[in-house]
Amino acid sequence: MDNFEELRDEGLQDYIKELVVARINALSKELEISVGGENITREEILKSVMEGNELGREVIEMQLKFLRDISEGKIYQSG
Amino acid sequence: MGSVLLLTRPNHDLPTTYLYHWSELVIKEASNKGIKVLDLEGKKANKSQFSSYISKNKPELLFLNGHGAKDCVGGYDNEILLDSSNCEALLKGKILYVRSCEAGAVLGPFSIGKGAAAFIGYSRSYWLIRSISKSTRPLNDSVAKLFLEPSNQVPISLIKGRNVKESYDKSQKEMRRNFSYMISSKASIEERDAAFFLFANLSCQVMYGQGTAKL
Repeated sequence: MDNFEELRDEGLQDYIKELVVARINALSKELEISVGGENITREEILKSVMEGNELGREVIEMQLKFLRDISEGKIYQSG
Repeated sequence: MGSVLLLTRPNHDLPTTYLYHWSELVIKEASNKGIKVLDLEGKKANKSQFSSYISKNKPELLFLNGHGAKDCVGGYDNEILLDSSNCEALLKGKILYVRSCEAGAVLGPFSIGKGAAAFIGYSRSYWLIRSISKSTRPLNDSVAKLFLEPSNQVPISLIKGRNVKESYDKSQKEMRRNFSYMISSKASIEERDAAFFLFANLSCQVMYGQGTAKL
């Protein structure tokens, strides 16, 4: 997993958290989420993000990678 | 061909039940190719049977479904099937595909150090997004399909004769293709909402060991 030095920037971290919170809150109610073979609610994901526990940090890092890969076009590359 | 596939597919909750049903497609492919399948389904996915089947039948390919952590993989009711204590005894020369969270972080490289030929898994959380309305018919769940079809490509490609690197690449390619569809205007709202989580799986799928290994 990439080492996101940018996340030391608190302002950026807060921005990414807001993005994640908005994304999770906007998830269709038709969907259920499981991670590692266990169901997880939207509220649990949001709690993890706000607490900054291991799952929360992972979601934030993934959001940052997502934004980075989209802006660099990496997301569409094969292999 | 003479190869043997061992798979574990517990079904003690809804997420594992999804993996259980979607793994049937891998079993079907293996059977079509004349590969002997050791199917540790449901409660048979326990440590005792897991160890016994491997010792007696010496499968070349292990496909494990279930809950995982950085250093272990679980079976039915999350009983630990594989961890650092039994890697060396069970994995020598084998190809592993572990469809669970995090096992790629520690167990993966550790298993290579203990003699496994190759390992494909996930170094962080493995996400699965499901449609509530399809929960009683997992194979009809079009959202889950976008996650599990590419994931199935690892064992299916190996069964079809591709090597580990090719199978990993095939799975990655299919995840990218599904992701591109999911962020397009052709996707449903649910599919678009799920795209981020498929991206997460794509990003953390890892491969260790001999890329040239094959069945």
